[in-house]
Amino acid sequence: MKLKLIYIDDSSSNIESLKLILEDEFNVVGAGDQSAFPSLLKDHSPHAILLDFHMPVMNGFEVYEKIVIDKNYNGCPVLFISGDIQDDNRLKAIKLGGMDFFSRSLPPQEVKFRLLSRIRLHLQSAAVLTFDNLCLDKNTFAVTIGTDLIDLTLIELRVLSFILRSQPGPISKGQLVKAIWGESSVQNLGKLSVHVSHMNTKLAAWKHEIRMRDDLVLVSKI
Amino acid sequence: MKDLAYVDDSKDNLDSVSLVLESCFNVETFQNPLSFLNVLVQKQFNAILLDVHMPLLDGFGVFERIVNEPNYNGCPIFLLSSDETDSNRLKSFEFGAVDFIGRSMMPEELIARVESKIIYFEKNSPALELGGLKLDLNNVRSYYNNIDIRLTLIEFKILFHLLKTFPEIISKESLVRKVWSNNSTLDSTIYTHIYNLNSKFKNWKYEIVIERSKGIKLLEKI
Repeated sequence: MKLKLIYIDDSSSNIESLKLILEDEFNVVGAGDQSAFPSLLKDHSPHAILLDFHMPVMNGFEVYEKIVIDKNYNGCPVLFISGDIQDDNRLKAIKLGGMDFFSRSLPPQEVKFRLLSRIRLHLQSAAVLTFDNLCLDKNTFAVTIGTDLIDLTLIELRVLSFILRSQPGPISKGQLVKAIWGESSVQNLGKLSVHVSHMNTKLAAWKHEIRMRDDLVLVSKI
Repeated sequence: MKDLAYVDDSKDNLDSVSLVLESCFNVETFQNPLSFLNVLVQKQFNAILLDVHMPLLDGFGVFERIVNEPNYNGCPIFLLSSDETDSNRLKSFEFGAVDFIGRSMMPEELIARVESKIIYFEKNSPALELGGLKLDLNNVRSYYNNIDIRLTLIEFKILFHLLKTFPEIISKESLVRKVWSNNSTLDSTIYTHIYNLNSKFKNWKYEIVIERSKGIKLLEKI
């Protein structure tokens, strides 16, 4: 399943090229200036936000200040990208809390890997995991699709939590079974398929579905 | 101070980098990766720094062995090298390193990068603990003195809310709303769950008590 990235840059060609680089792992929602933010945060629950540092009206830090006080901001990592990076700006970005400052001269693959590494940390610690219309809240252990509460068993919740925290995947069946039951056996692999099929029924209103293919567990769009 | 492990075959590097790190961390240095792996069997760190180029076993090799070590707590692993070429950095991120530290990095940035990842990691294994009982919120598991205790989801949620409110009392209505998301759960149902929970944690020094008209709370056994 793809992760969602909000990317603000006043150059639309920058947005297009990043979309191409990240298309396998990310849905990139691009916008040309920071005024789009309140509505972007409301409509999308991003897994990361990337900001062009040098923008005409406000610089990246000023936009950052606006984002973190927005009531719809979900706590995801905010990162900066810039053509020229001064040491003090980079340091400040990192000190602002687990973020990073990318140089445009970084190889595209590295931008992707660094983004994924930050998001992986975030998904482990996030209190609320949102993937499109599905939401798992670790404060209440409630799973909702839209406004409907979904009744899952403890094992199903464990499976879902592990799968969501491991996106964009892929996850091996063995890894998942080990996380749920402590050991990977043929018997447990069988149990996993049964649980997953029950979950897909319960989660039918979700825009995605959990699929098992060969040795892998994937989440794909219906 | 946080415990940091730093593995590097060069004595000079070990000395100079630890000098920087020691202002903020409790640093344990290893010149031999194998002796580090031996220590990891029984000790846990808040972060691990690995030199990439080592003769016996390189940083990537050590990385693989760390993640396969059952006692490894999942803490952030950094790769460190004076070879700051694109391919070396890329490979580090591909392996899952949380960050890549070039030797040309300023001391202040080195510390900021390590610190920010440690902070993330600590939020990262959300858990509630009281008197030997531990709820792992990511994996929805409960342990008593590190032994896995099987609970139903309802039992897990009850315990979760009681631990969160501890040492205060929680009203029955509020507990019901949080656990069942309704207002119509029978008293007898609640009391049955509480009775079952208390029998599952017989040796725990706390028990769940019901105070008529006031609510439910955890109380230390006399």
